[in-house]
This record gives sequence, structure tokens and C-alpha cells, in this order.
Amino acid sequence: MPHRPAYSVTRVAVQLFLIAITFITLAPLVIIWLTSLKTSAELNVDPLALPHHWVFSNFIDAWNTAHLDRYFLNSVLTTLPAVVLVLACASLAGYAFASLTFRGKQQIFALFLLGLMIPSISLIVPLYYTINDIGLLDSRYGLILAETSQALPLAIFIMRAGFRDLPHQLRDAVLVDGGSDLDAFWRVLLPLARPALMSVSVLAFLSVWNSFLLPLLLINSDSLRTMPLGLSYLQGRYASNIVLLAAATSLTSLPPILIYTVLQRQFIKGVVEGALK
Amino acid sequence: MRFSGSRDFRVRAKRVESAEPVASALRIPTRMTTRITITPYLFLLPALAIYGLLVLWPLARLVLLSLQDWNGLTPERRWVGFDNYIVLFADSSFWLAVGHNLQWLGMAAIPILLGLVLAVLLFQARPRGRTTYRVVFFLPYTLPIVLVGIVWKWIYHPVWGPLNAALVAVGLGHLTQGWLGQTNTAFFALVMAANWTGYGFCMVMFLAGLSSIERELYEAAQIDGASPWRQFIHVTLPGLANTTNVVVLIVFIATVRVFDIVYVTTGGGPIDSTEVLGTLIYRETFGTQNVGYGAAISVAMAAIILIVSLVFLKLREQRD
Repeated sequence: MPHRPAYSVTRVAVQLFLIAITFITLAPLVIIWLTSLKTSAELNVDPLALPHHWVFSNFIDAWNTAHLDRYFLNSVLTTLPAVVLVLACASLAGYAFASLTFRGKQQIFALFLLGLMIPSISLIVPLYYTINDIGLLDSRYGLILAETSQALPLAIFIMRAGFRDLPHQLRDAVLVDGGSDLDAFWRVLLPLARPALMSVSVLAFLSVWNSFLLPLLLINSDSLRTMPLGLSYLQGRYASNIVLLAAATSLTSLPPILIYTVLQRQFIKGVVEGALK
Repeated sequence: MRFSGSRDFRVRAKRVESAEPVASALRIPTRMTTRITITPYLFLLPALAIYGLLVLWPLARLVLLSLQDWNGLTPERRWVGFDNYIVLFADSSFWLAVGHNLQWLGMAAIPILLGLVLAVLLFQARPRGRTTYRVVFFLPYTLPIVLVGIVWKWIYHPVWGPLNAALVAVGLGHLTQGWLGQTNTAFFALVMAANWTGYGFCMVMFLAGLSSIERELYEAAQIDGASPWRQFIHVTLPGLANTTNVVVLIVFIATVRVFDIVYVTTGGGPIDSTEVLGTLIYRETFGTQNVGYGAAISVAMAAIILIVSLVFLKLREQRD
């Protein structure tokens, strides 16, 4: 193909535009990372300058003194059980909605759909009192259950679609062989629904790991704070130690960035699917 | 043609009540009918238990609370009927918050349009490094929104904020200001920070939409001699109608429910200039302890989302 000049001018313009957007996307994160490597004295001279000598003590202080280690552990101990619980509940329910016929199916499904449109901020008051009633205020279990309840509607929606896409003869074959629905679900259909399970895991991880409002509402003790809640708390506690705060912020950004880098394809696919379903 | 079991069959078909009663009734052997009545509910039980207890039951309580006057602490509550709603409709701070949510929605057009432009560029122009660009642009969406708020609060900081430093560096020193600390700039600055997480999301949505448009449509347009611009107007945009519907609905819901980023940056201030429905609910409930009133605002918010969502779903159905 002959190279037309207008063509390459467009190419260059497109690349310049994309580089500009890349800069806007990454600059805020890079700046906060660079600030974490500075000393407090350096910060006040020029916020844009590169660190003179790289100081790593801010990260160590944030991790140990500011208890980011604890917040990280809490995030893991909240997110993992919640994601597993969402996967279990949503795949069972999704199977029922996709493969079984029963009285009240449409109505029950509509109830779950309703959950997609009820934002957690509008439920804070009654949710707070309900969690209190069952004695799980300021408890990791209460938080896990609340996060699960918020993530369930979308997860069920995706699992239902995932099971629907599988041929229904698979279930029939298991039943004809004398197997139960549980057999069909566990041995045949669930392993085949792996893409849907992956999407649900990604979405549940994003919503629970990044959640702020529910921990803010339900958790009081510092020993139970998750990373986003802990980070917002450190804002007030270390208001004068800016470089330490920058280090804490950088470290908080690390887990989602790392997981996203490893699973980028699944992340994007999961989010798109969650939105389109 | 009649056969002996037809009566039986009809009864069963009615009991099963599915979208295609006859087909499913025919598929299910007689032996299964008794089991089928209980099994589905067992499958639904775990999900329904958690969801019922922590979403549906609180939702019912929310509606009841909105009809009461209660400070959230003492046992005495007073039934006030629709008084909370009557006060709500006359409350200027409620309408101020609604106005801010609407303005926010208007400014969310920026990430939607940018996302569309980026998606079309990556998809049609096939620039070098497009996979990397896609991954990078989507990155902010995966971060905790609290973190986004804190990072941008930093960038806007009047003393050590990089934005002011950058303005000075390019000779625009007269524009430096405390972006989030002034009533005239706080809202704009806040929404732009939130928008930072938006264009990547919109882009991947539009990319998914673009890849579902049939190639033949473009080929046909090219044969007809349509310019790239006309192809965009007559093939790309109509092909993205459903995607756009979904994106706008999701952005709408996100802007009505927005809370986290406001809470950690401005908390609704200065002087209510960034107050949105979310922060208003939080303040009424835990600040001024008007629990019933906070519940009424919550019901209003949920109702707005519900109604608009249904309208969007109807629009999509009509097009299909």
C-alpha cells in the first residue's frame, strides 16, 4: 500500500492525543509515588521536582507505624470470604433461574433486579440497625455479609446468563442418568460456567476491596479497618506528615494495580459483562 | 388426537408456570414433578437468606422509617405520616443537592464523549500500542474511589499541590488557587477528579459495542463511497445505540448515588457547594440525627434511580 502523507499526519496526531491521555491517566499516580520517596523538607521546596535521594523509610513507616499492614490483612480477610460467598450463593441461584422452573420465578428474580437499583447509600440507616439487631456491628462477619448482599444481584444476573448460554441438554442428560439437580450443577454445569464465575469474581473483588461506605458504617475498631477506610482515617491522624500519607496512599494503590496488571483481560471483560447484562 | 394422560398433563403444565409451559412440561418426566417443587427453592435459599435479611428487610424498614420522626438513639419514635416528604419537597438543601447531582451528570458527558473518541480511535485507526493504551486508560477505574479522592485532593492542594506548581511552571501563576477550598471551584474540581476514573470505563464499553457491529455494514458504506465521517454518523453511531443506552444509565446511577469521593475530599463543603444527595443523607442521619428525614431522602434517591432505570430499559426494549 502506498504511503500517503495525510495518512501518517493523522497517525501522528492520533498518537499524540493518546499519549496526552496516557499522561493524564498516569501522572496523578506517578506524582504520589514520587512524593513517597521524598523527605518532608524536600516536599516544600518544589512539589514537581524528582526526589534528591530516594527515601524508602516512608513506606516502612506507613506499613508499620501507620498500621497499613493490619489494614491490608483486614482487606484480605474481608474480601476473600465475601467473594467466595458471592460465588457460592450466586451460582446456586443463577442455576435455579436459568435451568429450573418453579412458582414465583419471575417475581423472585424481579426482587433481585430491584437490588441493582437500590444504592447502598440509601440503605445505610436500616442496614446499620439490622446488622446491630443480629449482633454483628463492628465485626468482620457483619461486614462480609453486608458486602455479599450488595454484590449478589449483579452476580446472580451474570451467573444466570452464564448458565443460560450452556445447552440445556446437559442437565437433561444428568437427570436421565438418575442424577439430581445438584449433580448436574456441581459436576457438569458449574465447571462449564467458568467464564461467568471469573467475571463474578472480578466484579465482587472490585466492589468489596474498594468498598468504603459499608466499612465506614459498620466498623468502629481500628483493628478491623480495611485499606480504604484505614487510608481515609490516616488522612486525619497524620495530616501533618504528608510524605507518610503519600506512602500510605501509594501502598494502598498497589494491590488493585498488581491484580489488575496480572488479570487485565479478565478485569475488562468482567466489568463490560457486568454492565451489559 | 387424545391420549389417556392428557388431563394429567394439562394440570402439570399449569403448575410449572414457565415462560414456555408446554415445552418444559413435556421435558420433565412425571417422576420429577414432585421433586421440582422444592429443589429450586433450596438452590435459592443461601442467596435469598442474605439478600432478604440485608437488602429487602432493610428496604422495608427504610420506607417505615421515612414515615417516622426519630433521632436514632432514644426509644421514642413518632409516626408522622408523609410529613418528612412534605418537608423534603420544600427543603432548599434537598433541591440544592439534587441540582448538584444533575450538574454532575451533565459534566459526566466529558468522560462519556472522551471514552467514545478513544474507543473509535483505538478500534478504527488501529494505532501502535493500542492494547497498552486500553489497559492504561482503564486502570483508574480499578482503584478504590477513596484513594482517587485522596490523590486528587493532593493534586489540588493550595500549598504543595502539583497542579498549582505546574501552572506556575508554565507561566500561569495567576491561576493558582485552593481548588477544593473555594465555593466557586470546588464542585468543578471534584467532578473532574471523579471523571478521571470514568473515561476508561466508557472506552471499554464502547470498544465492546464497536466489535459487535457487523463489518459488512462498513464495507457496504465504503462501496457507496461514504467518507470516514459519514461512516461514523451512519454506521458507527446507530450501531452503538444500545451500548450508549447502557453507558448513560450506568453513569446516571453512579452520579445519583455518588458519596465516597465527596466524603473524603470536601465532605459537601465549602458552604454546601459540593453537597450531593449521598452526603446529605449521611449528614441528616449521623450528623443532625434526623433519621426519619434521612430515610425520606434515601427513598427519594432510590425512587429516582428506579424510575429512570425503567425508562431506559423500556427505551432499549422498544429499539430491539
